[in-house]
Amino acid sequence: MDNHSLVADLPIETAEYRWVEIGALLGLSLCFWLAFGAVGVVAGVLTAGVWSLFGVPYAVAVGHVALVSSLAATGVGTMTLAVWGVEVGFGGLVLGSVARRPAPVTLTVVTAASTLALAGLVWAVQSRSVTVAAGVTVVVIALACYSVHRYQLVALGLVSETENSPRSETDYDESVSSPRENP
Amino acid sequence: MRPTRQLWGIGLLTLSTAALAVVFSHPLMLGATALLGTWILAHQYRFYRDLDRMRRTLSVEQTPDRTGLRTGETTTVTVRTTLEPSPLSLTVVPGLPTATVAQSESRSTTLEVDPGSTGGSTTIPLECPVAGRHQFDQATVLATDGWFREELDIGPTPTLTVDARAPREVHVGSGGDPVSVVQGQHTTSHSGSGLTPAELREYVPGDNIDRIDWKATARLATVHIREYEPETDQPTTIVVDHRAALDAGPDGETKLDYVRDVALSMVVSARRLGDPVGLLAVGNDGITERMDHATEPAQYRRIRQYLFDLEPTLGSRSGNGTRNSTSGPSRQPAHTPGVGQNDIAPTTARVALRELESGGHSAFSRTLGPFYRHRQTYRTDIESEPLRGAIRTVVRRRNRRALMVLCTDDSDRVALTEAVHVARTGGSRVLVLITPSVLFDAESPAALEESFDRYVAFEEFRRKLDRLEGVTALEVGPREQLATVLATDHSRSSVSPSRGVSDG
Repeated sequence: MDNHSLVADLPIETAEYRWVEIGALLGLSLCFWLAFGAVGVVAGVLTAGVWSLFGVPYAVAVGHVALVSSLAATGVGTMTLAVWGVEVGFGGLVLGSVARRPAPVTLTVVTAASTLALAGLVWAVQSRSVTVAAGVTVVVIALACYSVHRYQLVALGLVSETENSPRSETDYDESVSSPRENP
Repeated sequence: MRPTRQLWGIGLLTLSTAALAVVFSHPLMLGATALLGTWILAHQYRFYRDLDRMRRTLSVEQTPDRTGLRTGETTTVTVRTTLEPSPLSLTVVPGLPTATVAQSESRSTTLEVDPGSTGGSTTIPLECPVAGRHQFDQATVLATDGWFREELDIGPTPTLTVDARAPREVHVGSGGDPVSVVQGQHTTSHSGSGLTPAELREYVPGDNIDRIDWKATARLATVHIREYEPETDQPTTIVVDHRAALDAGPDGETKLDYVRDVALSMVVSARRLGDPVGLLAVGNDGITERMDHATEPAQYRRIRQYLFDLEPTLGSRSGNGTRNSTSGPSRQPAHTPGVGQNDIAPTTARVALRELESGGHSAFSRTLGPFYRHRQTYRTDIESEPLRGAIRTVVRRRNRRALMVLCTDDSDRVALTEAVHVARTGGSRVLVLITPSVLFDAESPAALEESFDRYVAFEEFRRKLDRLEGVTALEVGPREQLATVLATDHSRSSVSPSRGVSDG
C-alpha cells in the first residue's frame, strides 16, 4: 500500500472544520428559542459559552441540564418538535467535533451507528425505568470502549506474548527434537 | 490504548449525566449520556486509525557513533525518526542498554515529534562503564492525541561492544616477528633415576648394583643397567619491574599492563609444567615483594593475584594525567571519581603527608596512618639502581638450571644491560622481556616519522642483549602500534629492522 496516499487525506486539524460545530450551535440555540422563548435563549447562550470555554463534551452535558431545567420551568412537553431539534443540534455538535479532520467513511459509520444504537437503547429501556436505562447505557458504553481497546491491541500486535506462551521448559512441545538429538 | 486525564474527565462527565438522569428522573438527560458515549467511542476509533497509519509509516533508527569502545569511553547515539505527517504527538525514548549512562539530562535523551512533523533526530552522549556486549532495546514511541496514549516498541536493536581497558593484542617477539615464550617440556642431556625408561646399557665398573636390570641381564646373558629419564623441573624467577617508568602508555595499556600480561602467561605455563616459580617485584626504591620458589597451588595463586594488583610505584607521568600510587599492589581502582581530583593546595597536602608520616594525632592521621604505614613498606631499600641491586640479591641463591624472566622496559638501557650481566653471573639462563618505549609514547604525527629510527635503535639494543650467552631478549608491546611504527617509513619497509641492524 502506498503510504503517502494512505495519509494524504489526513491533514492536521484546521479551524475551518469548527464551522460545523458553530452551525450546530446556532441551530440548537434557535430551537431553544423556539421551544422556550427567553429561557431558551439563555440556555442557548450558556451552551455556546461552555462550548467555547471547555469544548463539545461539556457543552453537551451542560446543554442537556439546561434543556431539562427549561422543560421543568416552562412546562413544555418533551414531544415538541423544537425540543427534538435541540437534541438533533447536540448530535450535530458531536458529529462536528469528530469531523474536525476529514473523517474516513468507517469513522463516520462508527459515529452514526453509535449514536443511533445508544439513542435506540435509551428509548427502548427508558419506558421501564430511568434508573435501569441509565445503568444499561453506562454499561453498554463501557463494554463498547473495552471492545475497541481489545480490537486495537490485537490489530496492532500489542498483545503480550507471555500471556499465551509457555512459561516453563516443561510446557514446550517435547515431540520437537532438539538440534543435539537430530543434528 | 490508555486514556489521558482529560478523557477520564469526560468519562466522569458521562457518569454524571447518567446520575442526573436518575436524579431528575428525566430520560432526556440520558441523551447526553448517549452522545458523550458516542463521542468517546468515535475518538477512540479515530485514535486507533491514526496510530495504525503512523505505525506503518514510522521508522526509528538508533545509530551508535561507534559500536566498539572501551570501558569509560564516551560515544554518541543518534536517534532519528521519519514518518508521514501524523496528527499524533510522538515522544521517542531510545532503548539505551542498562549498562550505559546517558551523559545528558533525562529530558534531552528523548526525541519529541510534533503533530504534522515528518521526523527529527537527536544525539545522546553515552558512557559505557561496564565491559561486555550490550544490546539496545527497541525504541519506545509514546503516541498521544490528547485523549488517548499508547506505547509502541519500534526499530532495530544495535549492539555495543565494550572492551575492558587491557592490552588487546600483546606482541612478544623480535624485530616485529612473534615468538612464543610459553615453555614446553624441558630437555636434558643426562639420564638418571625416574619413572620413564630411557635405555639399556651394559654394566660398567662403578655403577650402582641397585640399578642392574636382572630381567634384561638374564635375557641378554650379560649384566645390563636400565637408565631412566630423570624427572626435571626448571625453577623460574619472574622479576617484574614496576617502577614509574613502566607507567607509560594509555590507561589500561601501559608498559606494566603488557609486562603483567606476559608474566601471567609465564606463571600459567610454570603451573602447567609443575615448575617451581618465584617472584621478585622491583619498585623505584627497591624490592617490593619477594616470593621464593615453590610449587604449591597457593604459590601460583599468590603470584597471579599479586601481578593482577600490581601498580607502578610512586611517580608521576605527563600526558594522560598524573597517577599517584604507592609501592606494591594497590587495591584502589585506577580511576576513583573524586579521589585525586580535589583542589587541595600543595602546601596543605604536604603538611598532611608529613603529619601522616610522623604519626600525628589528628583524625586524618589516625584514620589513614595504619593503611599508609602498611603500604609504604619496602622489603629491601636499594638506593642506587634498584633493578640491578634486586637481581643481585637473588642471584646468589640460584642454581644453573634456573630461569630468570626479567620483565622491564628500555628507558635506561645501560642499567638494564648491567642488570642482565648480573643475572648471568650465576650461569643460569635469562629471558629478558623489554617493552620498547617507542611503542608507548603518545607522539605527534611529526614525531611518528622518527619512530621507525627509534625502533631500529631499540632493536639494535635488543639484539645486543640477545647475543649474550644464555640470554634471550624479546620485545613486548602492542601489536597494532608496532605495525604502525613499522609502516611509518615506506622507503625502509623493504628492509626489515632486523635486516637493517644486521647490515649495520
